[in-house]
Amino acid sequence: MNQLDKIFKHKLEHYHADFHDDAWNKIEARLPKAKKSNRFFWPILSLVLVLLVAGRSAFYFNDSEVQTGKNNSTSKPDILAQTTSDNIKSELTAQTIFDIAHTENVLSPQINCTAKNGWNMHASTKSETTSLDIENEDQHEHMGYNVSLQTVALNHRVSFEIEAIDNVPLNTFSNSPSNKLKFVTAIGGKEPVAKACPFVLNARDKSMDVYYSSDFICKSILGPESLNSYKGIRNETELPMYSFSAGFRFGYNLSYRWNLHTGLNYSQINEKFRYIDPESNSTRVITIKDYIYDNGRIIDSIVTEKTVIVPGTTIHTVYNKIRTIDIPILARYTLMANRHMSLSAVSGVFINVASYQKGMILSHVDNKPVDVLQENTDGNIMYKTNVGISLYGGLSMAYHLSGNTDFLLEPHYRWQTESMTHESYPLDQKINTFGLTIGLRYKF
Amino acid sequence: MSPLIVNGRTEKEIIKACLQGDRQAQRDIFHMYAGKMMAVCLRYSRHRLEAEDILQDAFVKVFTHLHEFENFGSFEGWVRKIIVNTAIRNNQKKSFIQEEIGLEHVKEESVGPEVFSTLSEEELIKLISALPEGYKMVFNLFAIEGYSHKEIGELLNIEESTSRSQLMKARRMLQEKVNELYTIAV
Repeated sequence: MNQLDKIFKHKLEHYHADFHDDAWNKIEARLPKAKKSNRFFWPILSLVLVLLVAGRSAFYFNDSEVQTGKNNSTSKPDILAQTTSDNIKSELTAQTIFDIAHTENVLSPQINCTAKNGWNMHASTKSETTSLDIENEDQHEHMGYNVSLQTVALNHRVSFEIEAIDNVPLNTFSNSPSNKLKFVTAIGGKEPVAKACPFVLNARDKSMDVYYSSDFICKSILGPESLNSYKGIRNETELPMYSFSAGFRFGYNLSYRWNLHTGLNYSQINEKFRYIDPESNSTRVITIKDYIYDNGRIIDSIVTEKTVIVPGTTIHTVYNKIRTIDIPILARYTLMANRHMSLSAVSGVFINVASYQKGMILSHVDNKPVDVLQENTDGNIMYKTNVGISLYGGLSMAYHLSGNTDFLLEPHYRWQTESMTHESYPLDQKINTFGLTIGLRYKF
Repeated sequence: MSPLIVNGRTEKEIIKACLQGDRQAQRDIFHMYAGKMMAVCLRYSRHRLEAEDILQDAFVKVFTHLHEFENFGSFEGWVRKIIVNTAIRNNQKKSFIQEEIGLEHVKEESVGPEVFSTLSEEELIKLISALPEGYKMVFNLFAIEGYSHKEIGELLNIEESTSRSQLMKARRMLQEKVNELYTIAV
């Protein structure tokens, strides 16, 4: 290096030059789209839905939470409705416990009530209007209450009113300041509650579900640290897309709360493979025609072809698909149920029958795009044709549309137990899914 | 010298964020090195517009190939290498029009090399930019980037002897340009 070289190097090596203000915008426009923070969209949406439905369920269950006591009948009465006070809802049941004993004649039930402060009420309603005995633990008193009982045979609802006379306050039974309380309740096993409710005897014990699930992909690629950069570029180039599952399953009611389901499930995981190859060459064939002149006139022509390599950029965009067919074997345990809906926990396994992949990924050898069906050195393709067993867990909410049909809403998580890739491929890949299933259940 | 911490993040953290597609981190990396790399691009190009194109092409490569960067090396060195390679490739694309300059008319040195020290960086870059493509490449790679003739030969797909010859011619041409400037100034 001579003196002139040193001067140039010294002055220019760390020199900063101005660049165009718009340079970054132009670069940004050419970069792969930045990942948007929609990663948590489906989990959050599903969580909100679960909370909404769970909240609604809790409302139903709390609303009908009435303890039942002794029962002198073969059929246990269902107490379904609540109390109104002068047509205004009051919260009696939290403190006032009713026991409506079912008699041979549903139109003449006995009513026992334990009030919040230890008072007991007994009313044998042989007629439409009867007097009410009120007593507490220490003393037995007949107090001035009138009970009027009305029954509606059509849907087995019973309403009765307690009306205070002689200025006896009704706050023995409730916090309501009113002097007239109206109770509406329903008794009898013949209430047309939905058959899926496991607390109703003689429930139908077989069912058939047809369902569709929107799936959110949680992809896991594991391997040695030396391949971290390769893992990174795979995650960058393989973008999750809308995925789904669909299928059907038969259900059998094993016992009071336990159900067993099995059937056939099809899942399709979609991804978009997008890779920009900045240094790719394309081959062009140029046709050259040379004319031969003689005295200014064309007398012949020679056509030759020349192949030239044109350097440039190639964008590979391929829609990858991973399809699996599985047999689910699931157990369902009913946590809560009422006449409107039921809530169950579902868990079990998905046994893979077949798995098929299509598309492109970057090769771990040279980071160039390759077909996923391309064989490795050991003769295997990258992905297995059977991905083994997946574990499944979820919450299943069944809304009773009619006596034998339910609408299903089932948020779930499915976790692969083994890698989808062959051992010859250096990374272990699992695709777990979080999904929200909707479907219909028919009971027969 | 680039700052070690930008927007509260070290260079290593910014690079990690870039790998995760963080656009702000990519912007930070660009602004950390764009000025210095633009100066490199100017030396390899004929005019500013061409330099801007090289800068953009090179930074797109930097971000799309960032996963290939090994953390134990200098990130600036890695970026600079991509800039130089992009500039060479850009030159090869248009090199179907080869410029050949005879040296018969080149005058003998009449001013000492210390005259170059009096020139500004912009003037030095203009002198280099005005060189024929082949001379410019070899002079930049040898004198400023520190490549050997063997490496230059492999990079430009030319013989080592050609690289030596072109370096010599580039130096003479630069000398001639300075002589002209000096003569005018005097």
